[in-house]
Amino acid sequence: MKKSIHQDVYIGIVCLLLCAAIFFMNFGLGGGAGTMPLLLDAILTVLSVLILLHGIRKSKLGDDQQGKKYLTVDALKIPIITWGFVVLYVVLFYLVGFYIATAILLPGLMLFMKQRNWLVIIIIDVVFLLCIYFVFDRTLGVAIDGFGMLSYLV
Amino acid sequence: MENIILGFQSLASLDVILALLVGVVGGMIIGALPGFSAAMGVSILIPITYGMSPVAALTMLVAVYTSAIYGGSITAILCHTPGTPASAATAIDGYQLTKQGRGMEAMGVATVCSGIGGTVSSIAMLLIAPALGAFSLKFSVLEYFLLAIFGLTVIASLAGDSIVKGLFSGVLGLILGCVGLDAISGVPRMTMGNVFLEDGINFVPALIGLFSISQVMSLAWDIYHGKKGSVIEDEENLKHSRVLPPWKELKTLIPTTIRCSIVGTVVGIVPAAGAGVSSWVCYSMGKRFSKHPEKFGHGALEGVASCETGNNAATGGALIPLITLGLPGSSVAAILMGGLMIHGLTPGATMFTKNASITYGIMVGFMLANILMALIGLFSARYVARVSAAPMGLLGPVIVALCTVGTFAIRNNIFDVGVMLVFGLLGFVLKKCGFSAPPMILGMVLSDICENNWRRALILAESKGGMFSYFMGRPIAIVLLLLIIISFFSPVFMNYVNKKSRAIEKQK
Repeated sequence: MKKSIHQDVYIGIVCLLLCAAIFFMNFGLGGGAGTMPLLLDAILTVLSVLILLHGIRKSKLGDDQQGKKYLTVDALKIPIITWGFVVLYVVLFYLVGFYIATAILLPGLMLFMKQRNWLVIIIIDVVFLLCIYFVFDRTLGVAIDGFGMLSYLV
Repeated sequence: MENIILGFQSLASLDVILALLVGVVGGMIIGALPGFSAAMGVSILIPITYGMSPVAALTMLVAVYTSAIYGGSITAILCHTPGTPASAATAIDGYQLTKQGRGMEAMGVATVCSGIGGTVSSIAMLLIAPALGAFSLKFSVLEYFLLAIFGLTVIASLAGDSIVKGLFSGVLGLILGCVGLDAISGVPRMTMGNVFLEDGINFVPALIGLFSISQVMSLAWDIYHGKKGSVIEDEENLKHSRVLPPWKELKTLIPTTIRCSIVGTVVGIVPAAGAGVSSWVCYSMGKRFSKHPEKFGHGALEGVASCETGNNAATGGALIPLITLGLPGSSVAAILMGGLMIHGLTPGATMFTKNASITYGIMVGFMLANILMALIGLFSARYVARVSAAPMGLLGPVIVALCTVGTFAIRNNIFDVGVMLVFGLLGFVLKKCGFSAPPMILGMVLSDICENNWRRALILAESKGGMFSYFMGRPIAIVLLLLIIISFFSPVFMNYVNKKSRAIEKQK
């Protein structure tokens, strides 16, 4: 029977590291400011140990009895790339402003999400930008950054 | 009565009526999209409501809440895909009816019953909330602290598969709520020298990230693994069939609808129960009281009526403790509490004194939203169902852009967009690792209330001869502590009862 370390062991270790970070950030704060975070951190540490122990217990079982593995390359790859697109979008938003960033990234993300009908993609992009302009800029009076950092440079 | 008229008056403006309509239709569409929840709909819309008047904004949000719960039933009945978890029970009999060629009749019953359930709960809200609000005047810091703790006991039921991980998520939320300047001493906590964090983590970008960005990440995985939108069963037949069953059949549903409206509202008031629990409770009650329980599961209109009345009745019920005591019993209620706060409203007694016109406007608006939902739903359900077949690859990017612009618009601050990004990734990773996101939101909302009131209670207790004598002198605090103990141990007790009854069933 093949055995491997259950994922909850790694999760438990990461949780404990997080608890340590929270402890160091709050230890020694004056005026009673650190009391509540430290108290909560103690509870968090107990819960992290429980997660770790659960993982160790599960690791003693065979791979087939451990249940489905949820942290695999297959499960993470596409969502993380999607998140990368969102990060890129936010960076572009900051640099060149909302409208240009959206005009570029919306079709890009749609293509990544396996949409191939260019006409539909362009129509959605244009309609969305117009809707945002009329709803936010004109109706609600919310100023959306015109050209981001680009406007300062120009 | 005067206040209710005041509520109607505050709704009599074009922007509020428009917000109501957008909320109802938008909620129905969001609810009909499998994988999209009421929580996600409300969280995306909060930034958009920022520039609106409080009545228009909050009427729109509560309209989205109730309509999304109803919208979930459209795809549950016509496509066998519950749009929201609250519609899972509806799919049992609803889909059977669709297969029998009576899908539109089931849809009609679901629409009318959802409208009735929601309207009854809004009437209950108009009657109960002011009294509870007046009662909350007797609360001091100690009671508010205990109330926040009571709210936290809900975490166990929102925890998902693992209670330990759910609790971890909730406590992490409490810690994240501590980030920023300490309200009493002014000492910065966990800000890592960042000035933007001194105000604390902005709640709205965090929840948009947790609920919406993480969901789009999951959708991308679905797309790459061949999952497609839902398919409407027997669409041709739906075009020609009647919208409601004959009156003879419809009138037999009246007792079920009345019963489930009341039970659903009560279940909604109970923290942590929510629309999902209410629909199952009402479904099983409907079966128990039915003259034909054998039809349940094989296409009983009574089955559809009972769970649909129950889940929408629970939405109004959940708003009662939220508005009066600041006690969010579910993730949507916690998000709505964020919506109240960004419009400068603090749940509690002031909602019925200083802000009475806004509060009554919201409550009357909620009632109108339910009526409007029933009217629009009767004519548009079959068209809304088509939304569920929309390619997720087109919707996902639009949601990302909407979330980004909405988050930025709150304070014209790119840092908030960064918070959204971080919480998006965090939400996805937490979900993948088996941690549930709603407890974290609940923790973040209640953290401030919990800590500040506790520390003020300590200061007060010092002048009253210590915490014990201060506590013993406050009967409401004693009752609240008892409720906390009951609420804390109830999952253990329910688990025991469940196991026992299963064992007895096996022996039989």
